[in-house]
Amino acid sequence: MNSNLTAKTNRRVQTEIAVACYGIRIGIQSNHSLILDRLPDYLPPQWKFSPSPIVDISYSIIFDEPEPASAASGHYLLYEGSTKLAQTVDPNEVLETLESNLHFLVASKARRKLFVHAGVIGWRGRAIIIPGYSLSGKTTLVESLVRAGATYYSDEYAVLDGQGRVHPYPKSLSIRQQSGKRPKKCPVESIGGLRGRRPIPVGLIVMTKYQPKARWQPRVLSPGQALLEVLDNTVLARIRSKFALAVLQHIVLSAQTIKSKRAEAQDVVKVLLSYL
Amino acid sequence: MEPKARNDNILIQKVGAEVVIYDRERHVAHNLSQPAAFVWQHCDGQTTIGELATLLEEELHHPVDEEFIWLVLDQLQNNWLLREAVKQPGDERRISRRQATKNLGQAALMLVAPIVVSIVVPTPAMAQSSVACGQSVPCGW
Repeated sequence: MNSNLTAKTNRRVQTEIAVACYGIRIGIQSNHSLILDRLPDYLPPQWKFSPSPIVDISYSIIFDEPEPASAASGHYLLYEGSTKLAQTVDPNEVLETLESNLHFLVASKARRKLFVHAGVIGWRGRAIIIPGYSLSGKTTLVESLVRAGATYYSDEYAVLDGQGRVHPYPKSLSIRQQSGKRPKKCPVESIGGLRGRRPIPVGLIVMTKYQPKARWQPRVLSPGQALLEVLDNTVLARIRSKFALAVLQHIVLSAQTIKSKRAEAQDVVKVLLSYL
Repeated sequence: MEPKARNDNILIQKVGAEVVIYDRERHVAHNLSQPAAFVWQHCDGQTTIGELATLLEEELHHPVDEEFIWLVLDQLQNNWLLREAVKQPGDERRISRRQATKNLGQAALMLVAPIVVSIVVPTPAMAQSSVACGQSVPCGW
């Protein structure tokens, strides 16, 4: 670690916490109590305070106050170890950057689980997973499915175990606002939804993305084609390729995979739920 | 020389009648359709093109001519799934799938398309970034 940063950080840190999530121990420290007060909203689901002071990775959020006579506003610095990840005047932005890093950290370090970028809901005891990267519209579709009565599992990752069952990763939904505004964090309960509590088998895989005025024309993919599509959204596909192939084989053989562009999410909700 | 399947530095995952192959050198994943998987699995360096056609014919219960076998081999070769290059003797023209499958029955046609589909497997960094669509081929909508 950079010794200057260590000295600077240690001198200025007021509070620090250690949390554990999916077996990873994470330390977060800050000199700004407001940041740490807001932190729980930005931690990965199922986090717990860690009793051990030993951590696998540490983050620091430093609020750099301006000189009293200066007209400049203060800014926030986010570090992972000694690596600067962000510098911004906006506390929301620094927390969102931390949140994004923490999700990815969990996805890449968790053992015995495979993380696929996907929205996930439960319906009649089985899961519909909607693989896709950011901006593919998966959160919007998940939100519409939950409003129609489906159980919320995730708008970020399908967390798959060795048997191909999907586990809940129920972070707050990141619902995008009008262009230019940052996504709004909505606990699923705020839209009348329920969180999934137990792992369930995958019943349907939906490869889709939003396109205005697109017609919903689903075609069924073969299991092998489906595996490639899901692999393309798998976080550690290159590093844990053997595990990924074995897990994905389970889900593509037990679930049907359909692919189509879609227009408005509400227009396809009933159709998707009717598959299960 | 008869075609021989590459077996070094790859992972093989059977998916029903198809086979997904992960190329650990190039970080490319391929899905072989049922006929392509069958041909690839029988490329042992001893089985001739004619024998491959006969074996596939028995598997599909449909006539298969050697042109189709050459098409499959062409695609396997282009994706580094054969140990050494094989060349169709006497005829340098590249055959199209349409030409190669013109003698197959309707049921068999459903099995042969597409023969090999590939993606470049994303790095963790790619997987973290805001990519709206997959990195590679099967993104066709």
